[in-house]
Amino acid sequence: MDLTLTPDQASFQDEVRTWLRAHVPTERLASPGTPEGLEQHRSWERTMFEAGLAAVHWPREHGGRGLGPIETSIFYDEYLAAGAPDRLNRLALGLAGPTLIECGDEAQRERWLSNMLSCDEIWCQGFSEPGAGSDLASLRTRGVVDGDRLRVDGQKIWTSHSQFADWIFALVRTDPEAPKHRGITFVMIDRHSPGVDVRPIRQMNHSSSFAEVYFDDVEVPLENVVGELNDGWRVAMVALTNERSSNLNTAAHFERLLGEVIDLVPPERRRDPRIAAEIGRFHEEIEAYRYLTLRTLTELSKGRRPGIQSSMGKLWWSEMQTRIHELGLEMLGDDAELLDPADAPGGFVHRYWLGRAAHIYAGSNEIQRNIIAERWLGLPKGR
Amino acid sequence: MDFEFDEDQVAFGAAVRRFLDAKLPPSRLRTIWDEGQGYRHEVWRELAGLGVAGSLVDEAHGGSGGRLTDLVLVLGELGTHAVPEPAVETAVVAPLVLSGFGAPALQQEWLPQIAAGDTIVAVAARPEGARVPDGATADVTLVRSGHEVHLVRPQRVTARPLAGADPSRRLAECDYRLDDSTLVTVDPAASLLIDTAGAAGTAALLVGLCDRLVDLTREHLLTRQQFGRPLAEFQVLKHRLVDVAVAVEAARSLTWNAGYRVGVGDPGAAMAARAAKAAASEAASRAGAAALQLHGGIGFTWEHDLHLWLQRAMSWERSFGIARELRAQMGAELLEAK
Ligand SMILES: Cc1cc2nc3c(=O)[nH]c(=O)nc-3n(C[C@H](O)[C@H](O)[C@H](O)COP(=O)(O)OP(=O)(O)OC[C@H]3O[C@@H](n4cnc5c(N)ncnc54)[C@H](O)[C@@H]3O)c2cc1C
Repeated sequence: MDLTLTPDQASFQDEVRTWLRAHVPTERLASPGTPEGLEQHRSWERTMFEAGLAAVHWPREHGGRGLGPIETSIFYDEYLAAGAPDRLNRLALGLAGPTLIECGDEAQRERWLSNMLSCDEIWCQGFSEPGAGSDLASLRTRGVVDGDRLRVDGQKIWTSHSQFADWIFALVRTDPEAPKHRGITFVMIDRHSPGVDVRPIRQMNHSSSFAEVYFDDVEVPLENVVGELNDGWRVAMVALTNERSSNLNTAAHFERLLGEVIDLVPPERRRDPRIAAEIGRFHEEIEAYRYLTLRTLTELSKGRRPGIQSSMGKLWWSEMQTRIHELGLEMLGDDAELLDPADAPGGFVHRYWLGRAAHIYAGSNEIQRNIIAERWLGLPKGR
Repeated sequence: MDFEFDEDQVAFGAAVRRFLDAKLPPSRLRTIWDEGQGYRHEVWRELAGLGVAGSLVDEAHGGSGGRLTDLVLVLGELGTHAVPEPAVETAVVAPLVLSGFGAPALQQEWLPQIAAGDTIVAVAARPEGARVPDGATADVTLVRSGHEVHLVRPQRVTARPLAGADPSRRLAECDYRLDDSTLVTVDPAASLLIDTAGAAGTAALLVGLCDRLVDLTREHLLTRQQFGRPLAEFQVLKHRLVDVAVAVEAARSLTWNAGYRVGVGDPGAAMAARAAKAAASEAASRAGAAALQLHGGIGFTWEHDLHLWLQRAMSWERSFGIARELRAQMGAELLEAK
């Protein structure tokens, strides 16, 4: 056990910190849902790309820095501590790209990877459907082979970023006769193709970052299929395991959030032992998350595939984040429900609701509990 | 960065586990409970033979000169088996405080005996009216009085044995007659080290104890049938145990970190130890509540072994700081730093 950085890690940390200090925009960027916000985010991504920092965890031959899991987490810790913007193309950098690197062919990598890094093409994830949420494998969007193309019909929903994305990595059913996990294909669909219709959904947190995506006889070249036809479930599992490497929810992120909450504690409550104990508890939970993650990273760095810790981590951070938001709201008092950051600092009401969504997406917390019960505790599957 | 134990540390833990599985099964623990204040420390001597008591004692004094990281997995095993001796006091706090702050003569007198398993050390957080595990029977007691740390022999102790929920803890209410002859140091770092090392070590014990509670409960869910199927198929019960298991993994991660930071003398050791102890106490209390509830009526009997661990957990949750106080201390530091 050694929790010090190696000289290489320390100099990398230094390099990143210096670079970020010089380049992170000082003003908060507008939401990527607005045209000017989208341009601001693209331009930030381009700056990262030009510095060779777009995807530090990708192999060098594909435009990354070939960093291991621990070095990647050093990068993101610095990134978040510096208050840098959310990654606009995180679904490409974290999911679609690594999946292509692992399961795609040469032509596919050539076609897509570098535009992911430069953010010239933005990606979204078309997995969920109205009838297929937690039970993703029951999806029904059809893909029918017709010569050298696939004709796609059906509907996706909750597709984040689809309003401005250029590409959708999607799961479609290509063999309706096969058992449900077997007849699925993983395919890249051009969002601008004829027959694709994106209808934004207004969210309960007053914004709109996801949408419904309808496919009406959309033609997709067969060469866009990743892996084999009907082997899409396996490819999707590769994608979901890769989700981890793009994880922006590191301990540094929550440390920053807790710091904001501490700033909100009014002077007369700063000596209240109940408030102190709550803050101390959040510090403890953040540290627990840091070291739970470090256990996983250590295993990954030694070439092992850690089993269950990503489920534990997701459960832990999403529920902890909500409780930290709740303390922030309490400290805001009557201002808590005000939407405008000018009236209530930190935009906590907005972030609180968004944080609630984290209990639902990326495998709901109930599904994570099922996974932990079955794979970690060895309890039987439910009926 | 490497956040794993090395082969030797894992092997040390496994050796202690094998030993305790054989020597300290629940049936033996029950006899110890019956013996109460009269119990003799045979198992401890054998544990010392395996290197447990002298792990943190330097080689010149008959130990193996290790760091707390070397002992974290071993302490987990002691927790899993609810070893009755004040293990953290004797094998962690006393060696660290005496090696760091004791005069050479004091070290020469006590460290070899501790390493050999011949000396049991109690720790008292205050000189008057302290409730001290093994307070009446310990061979020597480390007493904190403000910033002073004293080492007190039995002749200077007035001890009144008390009946505790876990009789093997041998609680006593103690008063200590302190003077210059008992003084070890007035360095405030020594009394801070008592808290820090005690909290980190006790966190490790509690994590091991949680492992036992989770295992027992898991077994019960898999074997007990109701409504024509094992309890383990009821999702509400599965999820409850999952929440416990996740809290235990969180506490385990913090405990590894605290052990490491105490071991290398990191300036963050005090915070790390508080976080670990608070998390481990909370995990243990949740694990205990879930274990009792999920066992149903049988878990509420004296005959079932579950209560041996529930009552020990209650005791360890209280030593070296309860969760709420530790959290308030951490929070106050963070609020002040802003
Ligand atoms: C903000 C946000 C962004 C999203 N972005 C995307 C995206 O970009 N791309 C995409 O494909 N999807 C996206 N999703 C969809 C998300 O993955 C699904 O919402 C999620 O998988 C849950 O599916 P569902 O909504 O159909 O709920 P359901 O599956 O119907 O679940 C409803 C409730 O039942 C519980 N439940 C279901 N099955 C079980 C079970 N077996 N045991 C116990 N409880 C169970 C769930 O936990 C949940 O609480 C997004 C969702 C949100 C909220």
